[in-house]
This record gives sequence, structure tokens and C-alpha cells, in this order.
Amino acid sequence: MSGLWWLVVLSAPLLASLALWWRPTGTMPWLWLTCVPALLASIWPPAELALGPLWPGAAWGIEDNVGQVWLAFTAVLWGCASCFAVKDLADDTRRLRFWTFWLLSLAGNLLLILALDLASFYVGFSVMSLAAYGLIVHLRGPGPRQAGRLYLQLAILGEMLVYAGIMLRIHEAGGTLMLADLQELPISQLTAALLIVGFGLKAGFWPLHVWLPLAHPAAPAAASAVLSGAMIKAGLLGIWRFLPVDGPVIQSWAVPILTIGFISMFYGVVIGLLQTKAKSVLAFSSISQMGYLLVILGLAWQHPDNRLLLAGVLAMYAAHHALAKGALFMGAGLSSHYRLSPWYWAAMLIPAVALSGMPFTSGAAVKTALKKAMEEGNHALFISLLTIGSLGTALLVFRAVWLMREQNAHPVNTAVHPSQAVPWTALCIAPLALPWIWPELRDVLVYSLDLHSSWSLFWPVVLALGIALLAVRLGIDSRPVSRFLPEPARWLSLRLKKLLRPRQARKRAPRGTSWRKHERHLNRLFTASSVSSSAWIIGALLLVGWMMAI
Amino acid sequence: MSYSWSSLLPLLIVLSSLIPGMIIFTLREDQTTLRVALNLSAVSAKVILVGLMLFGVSQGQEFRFVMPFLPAGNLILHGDALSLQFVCLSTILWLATTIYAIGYLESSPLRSRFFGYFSLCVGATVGVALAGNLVTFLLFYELLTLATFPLVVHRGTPEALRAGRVYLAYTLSGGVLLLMGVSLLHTLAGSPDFTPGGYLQSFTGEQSPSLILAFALLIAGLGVKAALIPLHGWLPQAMVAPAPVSALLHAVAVVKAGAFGIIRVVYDVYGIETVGALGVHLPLMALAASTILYGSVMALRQQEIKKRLAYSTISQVSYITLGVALMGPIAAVGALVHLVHQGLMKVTLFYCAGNFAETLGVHNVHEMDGIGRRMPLTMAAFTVGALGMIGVPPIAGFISKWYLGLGALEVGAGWVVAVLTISGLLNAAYFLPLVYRGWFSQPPSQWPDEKPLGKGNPGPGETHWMLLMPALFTALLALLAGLLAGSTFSPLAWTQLIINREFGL
Repeated sequence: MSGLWWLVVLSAPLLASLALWWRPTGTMPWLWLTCVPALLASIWPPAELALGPLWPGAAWGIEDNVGQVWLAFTAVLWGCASCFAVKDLADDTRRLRFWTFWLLSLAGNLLLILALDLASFYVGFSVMSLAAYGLIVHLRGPGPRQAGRLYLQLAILGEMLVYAGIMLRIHEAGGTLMLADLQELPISQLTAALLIVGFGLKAGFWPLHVWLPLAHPAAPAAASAVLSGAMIKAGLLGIWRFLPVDGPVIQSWAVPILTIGFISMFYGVVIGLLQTKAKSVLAFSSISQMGYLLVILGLAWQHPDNRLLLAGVLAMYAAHHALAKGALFMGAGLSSHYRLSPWYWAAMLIPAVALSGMPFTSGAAVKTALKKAMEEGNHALFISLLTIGSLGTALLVFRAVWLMREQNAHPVNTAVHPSQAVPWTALCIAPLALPWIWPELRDVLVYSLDLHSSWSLFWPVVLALGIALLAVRLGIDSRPVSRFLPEPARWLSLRLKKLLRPRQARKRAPRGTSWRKHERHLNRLFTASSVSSSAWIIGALLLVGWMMAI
Repeated sequence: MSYSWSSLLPLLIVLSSLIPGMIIFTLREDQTTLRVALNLSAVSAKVILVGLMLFGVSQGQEFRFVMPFLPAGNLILHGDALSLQFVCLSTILWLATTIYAIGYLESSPLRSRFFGYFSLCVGATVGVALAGNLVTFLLFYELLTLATFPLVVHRGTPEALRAGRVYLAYTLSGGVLLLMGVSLLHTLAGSPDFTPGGYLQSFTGEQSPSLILAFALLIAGLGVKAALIPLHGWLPQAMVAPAPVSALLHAVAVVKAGAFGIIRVVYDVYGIETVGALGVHLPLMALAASTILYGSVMALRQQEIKKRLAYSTISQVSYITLGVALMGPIAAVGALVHLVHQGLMKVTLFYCAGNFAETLGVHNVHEMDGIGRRMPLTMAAFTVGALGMIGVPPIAGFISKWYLGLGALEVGAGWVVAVLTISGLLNAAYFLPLVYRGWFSQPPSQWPDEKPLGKGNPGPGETHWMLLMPALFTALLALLAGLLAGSTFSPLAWTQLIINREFGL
């Protein structure tokens, strides 16, 4: 395909937003079509396209497996979610606003994936981050408002750190604007820290996750799906693309990143189990899953020789998690609107067990691939941690599904609209179907089918099921504990807002700042006798100047 | 002396707004049609003339008008790449602001006086841009001060008069300092043409103290208009002026004349090498950096929309000064391109603030709740301007910040990146609440003072079309200037042309 196809990929959501303003009700059911060009581009990658007239260095294309897979799962998830969201928003008076932000976030998300240069990535990243705010605060009330505030504060902070990081990175790299060149060029400690924290604030791993458990559940179901499935991974992609493959700085970051990855993995599980809302549990599961992705990143830094293999694992894991998590979030949305039949619950269990690595699913494939990569690096401890992690994940998703069932008692509406049922079912089946249409994934899945591997994948899920059933039977309730969980981030965010709000200036003027007083004083000095005082100043200065000149 | 068309063109450009201004003074208040026709034809004539000059300069043609004025100091109007940057900006924004002002002042008194001075003001701005040496620059710079005063006090309220007095006190004193600086240099070197690389190299050494003093005087004089601290006091007070005046004041006329003067002094009078040798750029850099942060912090404390925008101007204009003081070619690109970008974004913000005030009587930040539902198009333009100020890509402001950051690192001033980052955070802290209120808060049941402008429903008829169109036009330009920065007709491309000529690259 010609490189101009990239223009079609990006202009599709933007043109759709124009069409939306022109004819809202007619356009909305067809918005999922805006993801089709991106999906086609990921299957048959067009040539690279340099765009001189845009910002400096702009070039779009796909040059590696990671980019191709990323584009594919992003397009699929956004497409399914777009289709799913239509029904939920059918009676919403502010749906035009929602869709505008939706399409903007989509355009930003696509742009950052197909960016070959730093500026395009930065543009896409910023547009996506800021537009996603509109999705988070869409539902009214103090919850979404506070979640949105914290999200925006940290998004802006991340944005500025990324800006500083990019400036330093370009400077260190001798002015190159292409991402591909950065892979080989060394990085300084400060730049690495700025970029990791800046992008990490979006990637949502511990301890930069504070906004995530508030923001992801606050949004409408479809928006939660894309937030947790697609957008969260942009931060990780940023770290992957902007930091070099190897070097002393990278080596020094590998162990901290691995540690943070493992902490996130278990932190998400422990705190997630204490949550009392299905979507919150799923959000914590995202934190835990981002830990896995971070571990892959850390391994790639520790063993640069293995990078190609680990890049493949990273892409598989990201795609697997995006589709499964998207299905679960949408399922949570369905369960709060409809009384679901057992068939739906059966379908819901597919992505749930896939996330925990059940054999025959994409989860088994990616976990096996990850273990294989770890074996090559001789990390026996990591492999056992991974198995315990699977147990934790299984517990967490079972809790999420259980909470969905519990909250499903009220609605009376039973008929799920096809525009929601079809994309949701497609995503639910994806963990089973994906290995059969994606050769690399199929190879690892086949490899995982021997008795030993299958058993090591199977027993954590079964054990988790047993524990879950026992907990339900004994009636263990986390509600008393969850009430006492501290939320320092929410508190700090409120404090910051109050700090930044201008005080009622008039009332506080007498004991206000001394600056203003001096300024006024100076002004008065000038108004009263400006001419004469100016004359004096002129005289004095002329004298000085004249003396210097001679 | 014989004049060809190429030497008369700069004069014609200046006169194309001075003469209509003079004629407008003679018109009666009720001759609305004639006045509007005169205004619009003057604007169109100017656009055509500037277009002609732009084409000529890009082809390498010289435009120079000389008239004897002072001993060793001719009156020179000279169209080079740098002056054209400023001329184009003021012409485009004048076009938009004229339309806006016609709509804004539709039924208010004293319109002849207003539009007369308005035209003079733009004529003076263009004169400042085209001035070919320091003496000419000084002349138009002072004319600008005088032409702007009646616009600031136009409303005639006690508050306006007080603001006018403060404005006059500050700017006249600044003018005097500038005069002294210019005369000091004039006694030293005469007033030759502005030359890329400066004309004072031969005076360094023995005359260095005089050069430093003259530099301090010039910067102090220009710094008043460019609102460097501690000379910024007039700017927030001048907010009482009508919205089109504030828009013009902040985006092109007064503030930019100061910044443009600093650019001229550093690049074309002293020259980069001389400034570097004298070491005077370091205090300037420190001053600009502290102004950036001070303006942002003060903006946070304001309740009134226009005041907040005014402090934001103080902060943003210093980006230009900072970029100039960094003395590297990349930072210079950032500085010069920000001259245009800040103009586009700030003028948009002021148009929008004026629209809110005129249509709904909204003046304060907390009254903006839900205004996006009543005036979505104006609010959209406002959002573009505000996000651009923060530096959110792909709006114009991000290009400026990109080049300023890279330029600072190029000359080894890494701390400037920290200043830009903090300023970005502060910008977000004082602009995003406005955007949030506008789009996401609940609108009140009744607006403070709703007037029947336009059709009164959201969309194209949300306010008078003459108020809406300029805001949308400049917002679109601000967006395109960032989005299409790499194209040949963007401000960035033109800036790179200037810098290549200035730095001899």
C-alpha cells in the first residue's frame, strides 16, 4: 500500500468528528468504521511516509513487529468499543461531547503508534492524554470529577516531564528526530529518569498508578475498556521507543524496573482483592498486568541480546491483555445494565481465565513465551514468582466476575442489543481465536501444550477457583477492610486544587502579599509627579552617560 | 532624489493606515458606512501591499526608503525578512481586529475617535517594524505610545483614566530611557542601518562601559513595553480598555513593539558577538526567566479573566526575550516564531474573553461555568488558545517551546528547560480551570448580563458574527501554525529564513 494510506488512517477519526457535528444521530452507529483503515494498515503495512509540511521531522510508518501488533490490537479494541458505546450513550444529552473526545483520543493513540519521529509521538501522546480526560469525567458526580482532576494533574505533570525528557534526548542524540536512531544512542541518567517517570505516569505501574484505580472505573464501560486496554500501554511504548537498547544507564535501570514490575504485579492483586466494585478490581488487575509488561521491559534491558525475542513477547502480551481486559470491562458494563443469561457468564469467563494463563488460551501462550525468555536468562526465581502471579491474577478476575454477578441482581432488562453483544462476544472469543490466526502465538501455544507446561499453567487457576469458592462459602467480606484503605493521592489532589484556586482577593487584600503593596507604591510615585521625576532621572543619567563617553 | 516603486513601498505600507486614520478623525459620528468602508479598504490595501513586499523579499529584493531627518540619522524605512515577520503579523491581526472592533463598538459613542487612533496605532506599529535604523525606530515607538493612550482611556471611566495615567507614566519614562540610549549610541556611532551582526564591533574595548550603559538604557526603555519585571505594572491595569484594544495591545502593538525592539537591538545594533563579548545577555536572560515565572504565578492569583490573560502575556512575551538572550540560532528561531505564535494565541484569547463579556456579561473566572454549552464555538477557540499557551501539541505554542528548549540546550543553558517546564505547569494551572469550567461545569440558570447579539442559540449564531469570526479565524491560524509548521508558508519557515540571514548560516 502507498504511504498516503497513513493519512487515511489518521484523518478517519478526525473527519468522523466533523461528520458527527454535522449529523450526530446518523453518524454514531458507524463510528467503529474509523478504526478499519488502521487495522488494514497493520495487516498490510503501507510504505513509510515523510510529511514535510507538518511539524519538524514528521514521518509515519511501521518499522517493527511491535508497532504492527500494537496498531492491530489498538484498532480492534477501539473499533469494538466504539460499536459497544453507541447503545450506552443513546439517551445521553452530552454524547456529542463524549464522541468528540473519543475520536480525538483515538486519533492521538493511533498517531503515537505509527510515529517514526519524536515529535509525532509527542503530539499523539499529548492529544490522547488530554482528550481522555473528557472520557473519564463524562459521567457526572464527585467520583468522576475527583478522578478526572487527579488524572489531569498527573497527565499534565507527565506531559511536562516528557517534554523536558524529549528536549534532553534530542540534544544528547545530536539533534536527530527519528525514533529508530535513538535505539543506538546513549542516554544520560537524568534523561532516562525524566522519560521513565513521564511515560510511567501514563503506564500506571506502581508507584505511579495512583490515578488509575480512580479514573478507569469512573468512565463509561467502553471508555474504561480503551483506557485500560489501549491507552495505558502508550506510556510503555514510549519508554520502549525513547530509551536505547543498551548502555550503562540502561543496565543500571534494569534491576529497579524488574523490581518495580514484580511489586506492581503483586500490589495490584493484594489491593485489588480488597475492592468492592467490579470495575475497581479490574483497574487494579490492569496495574498488576502492567507489572508483567514492565518485567518484560526490564528483561530486555538486562539482556540486550535477547531483545528481539522479548520484543515479540512484549507485543504478544500487550495484545493479549488489551483484548481480554477490554472484554472484561465491557462485560462489567453489560452486567450493570442487563440481567445476563448463563451463556454470557460462560463467555465472560473466557477472558477471565485467559488473563490467568489457562491452557489453550492466548494467556497460556504469552505466559509460556515469557517463561521461555526467563529460562534463557536463568531466572528460576522469576519463574516461580510468575506462577504465584498467575494464582493472584486468577483470584482477582474471579473476584471481579463474582462482583459483577452480585451487582447483576437488580436490572430486569434481559435482551442485550446486538450492537453490544456482537463486539463483546468477539472480544471474549479473542483469547481462544487469537493463537489460531497469529502464527507466532500459535507456535508458543503449541509448545505450551506438553503435560508439564500445561500442568504448571493449569493448577494456579484451579487452586484460585477453589479458594474463591471457599471464600464465597465462608462469606469473607472485604468491605470492612476496604473502607480503611488510605487514598493519599485523592487527598493531595484536592489540596493542590485548593492551593491553586485564587483566594477571594478583595477580602484578603489588607494582609495580602507585600509585592502588590510595593507595586502600588511605585505606581503612585510615578503618577503624581511623573514629569518632574522623569526629568530628574534624565538629567542624572545624561550626566553619567556624558561622563562615561568622555 | 528619485524614488522607484520598490523604495516607495515601505512608505506606502505605513501610510496605508496613517492616512485613513487621519481621514476617519474628520468623519461625523453617524457616517458609519463611510467609516466602515474606509477602514476595510485601508485594511485590504495594506494586505495587498504587504503581500507584494513579502513576495519581493522572499525573492531577495530590497525595499528601502530614505529621507533626511537628523544629522547622521536619516529616516529609513526598510523591508527585510525580520521586519516583514512583524509587519505580516500586525497586518493579519489588524484585519481580524478591525472586523472585531466594528462589531464590538457597533452602537457605542465616539467611534470616529476610536477608529482614528486605532489606525494610527497600527500605522505606528508597522513603522516600528519597518524602521531601518534606531532613530526611525524611536520615532515610531513614541508615536505608538501616544496613539495607544486614547485607546486605553477610551471608555472614559475613572478607572480607565487612572489606568491611562499609569500607562502614560510608565511608557513615557521608558521612552525617555530609550531616547537616552539611542542618543548615546548616536553620538558614538551615528545611526547607520540595522545590519545583521550589528555595527558596534569596532567600539568594544575602550568604549565598552558606554556600550553597556546604552544597552541597559535601551533594554530598560524597551522593557517597559515588553513588560519585563519590574517594569510591567501598567499592563494589568490597562485591562480596562475595550476588548479589541486589549487584544491588539497584547498580541501585536505595544507589547510586541518592545519585544521586537529587543530583537533589533541584540541582533542588528549590537550583534550577537558584541553582546556576547560585553556579557550583557546574562542579566537579560535572568530577567526574562524570572519574568516568565513571576507572570505565571501572578496569573494564578487573578479572578478576572482579562487580568489573568494580562499576566499570562507578561510571562509569554518574556519567552521571546529569553530566546533572544540565549544567543544561539535555534533559540532565536524559538524566540522569533513565538513573536507570531503568541500573537495569534493571545489575540484569540482576548477576542473570546471579549465575546463572553459582551454577550453574557461574564468577566470573572467563576462565572464561566458551563459557558461552552451556550457559546461552543467561542469556547472552542478559547480552548485552542489556552492549550496552545500551555504548549500542548499540535497547537502553535508547542513549536515555540520545542525550539526554545532545544536552543537552550544547544548553548548549554539546561536550566532554561526547567524554567519552561515549570512555566508550562503553571500555565496549565491557570488556564485549565477555565477550560474545565467552560466545558464541564453546570451552566447557571441565568447569565450575569445577556445581550441580544446574534441569534442567541449555541452555534454560528451564538453572538454577533463580527465578534465570532475573528476569534475562529485566529484560532484556526494558531492551530495551523503548529500543525503545518514544516510547510513553506508557515511562520516557522519564514523564521528560519530570517535566522539564516541574521546568523549568516
